[in-house]
Amino acid sequence: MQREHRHVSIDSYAYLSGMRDWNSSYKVLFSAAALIAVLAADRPAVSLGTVFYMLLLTVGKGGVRLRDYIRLLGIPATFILLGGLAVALEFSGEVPGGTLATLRLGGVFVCVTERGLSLAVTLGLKALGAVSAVFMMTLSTPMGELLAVLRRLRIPALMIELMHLIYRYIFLLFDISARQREAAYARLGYRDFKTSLRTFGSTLANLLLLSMKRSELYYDALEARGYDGGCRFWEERKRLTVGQLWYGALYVTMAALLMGGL
Amino acid sequence: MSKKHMKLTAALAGFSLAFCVSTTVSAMHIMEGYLPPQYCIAWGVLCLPFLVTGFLSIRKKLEENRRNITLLAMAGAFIFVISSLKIPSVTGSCSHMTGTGLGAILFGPSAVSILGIIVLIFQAILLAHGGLTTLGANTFSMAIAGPLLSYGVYRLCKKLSVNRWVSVFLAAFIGDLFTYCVTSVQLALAYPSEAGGVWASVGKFLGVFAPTQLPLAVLEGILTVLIMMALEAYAKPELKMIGFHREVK
Amino acid sequence: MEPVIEVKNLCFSYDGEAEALTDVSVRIYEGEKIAVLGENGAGKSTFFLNLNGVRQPESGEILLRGEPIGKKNRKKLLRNVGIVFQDADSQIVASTVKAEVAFGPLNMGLSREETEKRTYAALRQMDLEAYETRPPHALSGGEKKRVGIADILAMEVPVIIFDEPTAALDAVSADMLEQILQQLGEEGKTIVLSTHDVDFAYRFAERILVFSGGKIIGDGTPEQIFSDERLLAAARLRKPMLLTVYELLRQRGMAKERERLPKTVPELAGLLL
Repeated sequence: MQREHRHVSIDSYAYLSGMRDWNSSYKVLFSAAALIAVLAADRPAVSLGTVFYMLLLTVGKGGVRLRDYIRLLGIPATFILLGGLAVALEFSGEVPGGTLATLRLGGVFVCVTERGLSLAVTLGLKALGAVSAVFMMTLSTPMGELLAVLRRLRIPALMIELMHLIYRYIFLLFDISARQREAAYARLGYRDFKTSLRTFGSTLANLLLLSMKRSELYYDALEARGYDGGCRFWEERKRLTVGQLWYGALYVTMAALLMGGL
Repeated sequence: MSKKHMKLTAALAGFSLAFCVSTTVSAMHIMEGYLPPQYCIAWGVLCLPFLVTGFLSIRKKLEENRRNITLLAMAGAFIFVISSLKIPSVTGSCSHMTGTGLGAILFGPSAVSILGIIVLIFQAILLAHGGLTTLGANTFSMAIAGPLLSYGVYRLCKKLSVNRWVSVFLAAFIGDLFTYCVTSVQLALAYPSEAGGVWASVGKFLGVFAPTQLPLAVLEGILTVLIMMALEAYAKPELKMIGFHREVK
Repeated sequence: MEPVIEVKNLCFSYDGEAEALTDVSVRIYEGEKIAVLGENGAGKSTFFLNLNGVRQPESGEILLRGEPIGKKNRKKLLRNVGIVFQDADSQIVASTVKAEVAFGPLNMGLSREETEKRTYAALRQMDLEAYETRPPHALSGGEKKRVGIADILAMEVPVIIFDEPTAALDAVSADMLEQILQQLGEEGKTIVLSTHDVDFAYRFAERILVFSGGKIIGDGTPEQIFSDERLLAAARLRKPMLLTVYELLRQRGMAKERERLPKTVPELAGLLL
């Protein structure tokens, strides 16, 4: 049965990306470098620069639709807004210096200070910049290739193996749960809030049971193909080309210029 | 405040508001890029002893029986899936379970630390919830502190012979609340208040996230009870398989 | 002639539970096409897991080309006998189709070059070349099934077991699968498959094993098995449609009496008076 895994649309972009043939270690390094640049520079200019650079790269070269990309960029919005609110507001017995706006609640002043507001904005942009840097990697590199990079980074084989299996099982469980949901809907299991909660709970219990039972069969199937605990998955080797390096170099130059206060 | 700043603020606020309505409220994952580098590293280091303990316990489990690997992987996948399924809601808003309490009760806190960090990595990569730079902080709050307390509460309730369902509820509810408190402290440590220092800042973060997190904790508690009830109703032998047998007698 | 696999008095149970297989003995010869019939829970799948070495018999013996298989050399069995599982999802582990098909060869300790060569050959044979870079969760049921077969083809094992290969397939896919099975038979592979489709078993197999309650209660040619009414009743099996029709026609004197029963519709038509 073919299903749309809308829960994890990032994953499906990775398989279709125009940058899929890029060397995966390089993409990870590039993304990590951009993350460090955004965090270490701590300047809105670098964050914004990264947001736009990664947008152009992922949309232009990777072929992700702009509308979808913007939607993905919206994922941290709630957090940015609430976190920003917490950082920007000050509660105080007296109005501190540099206050832009004040609200008096009984004996307490709720103030927005210039420092607080600027910190909130810097933080919000940093989050967007960092998310963009990670999107460049995750929207162009399928999980199998990311795990191959982790293996090369000497993460214990057992962890990699678990991650491989968990990744695969996630989609199996999504399929089962989608079918369960349809079946429950058909039997009016979601007719009101109370029933919905009950149905939701028991379908999850069912899902757990089913998955536990199947794990036995899945192990048999693994062993039937000679699996004996080693983590042997095919790893595609992708060439690092000068063209790919140019994109990285261009980013580094831009980040350096922005950091220099351009 | 310069004009440039005003514009940036307005743009960012507009952007966030536009999406805020449509996006999902899940556990309090600290976003990518939200913590300064030294905090990212410090929280990561703090997680290490717990992760090593968890890793060793998992390895031991596998040495006893290799077949446990698919079982463990299924457990991990299950935690990921329940944390991304939409909980039924009255208002039509979109919220998700954390699975912290359920995981701790079913699989034990040491296995959950490892499964938890893997789930958090996948959430960061596949869903853009949380982040890779904030992985250490999120692992500490959601895969270590929360589950440990959940498990502790559960055991304590058992010792005090509290009603089973009450103890399951409390374990999940308190685990969730604790995760939310730890996250607030993590944010406050990085961004202390100008006037009142770290503690004032903790209050601020607790305050802004309370409207989403408090109802979520209650829901998490109720759902965990419903799931456990369903499991015990028709699956005692299967519960044995996942090491839950010490609890069900 | 020496059998590829010989099973002698095999007994098996899942950790102390009731015996799943009791005193099973059978010889499987190179190039045979065997269909295994029986109700659900009759022991077919358990038998397959034993044949492949994933599960070890409690008592009794399995010999691979005359060599007894024990705990130590059971990997030899894995290299000679492959299982295509009924539900392809339970078999697929890797995150792309290519990595999936390469999983078996890599576990066999083959080099990257050899693995890649075999992987592409298997993908070509299953008409899956265009799917190489896709993740398994983006495939349809029929496509997954083909991946499951390619998995085993890449291991280049002489004996292939198919656990209910045609179950849950649409008619076109099922026909395609039958062609693939025929083709593998022509290539000289030994094929063992289980099925509930007696018409398919009758058409395809040269030999039929009937399981019931963990025992083999019938072993013979399709003609022998399907003429044995008592055996069919004991195993709760139905007669193939073609045979029923032929018998009816014969009773009414509308078809010739022949020692060799018709296997296909054209063969039956040739016997009409």
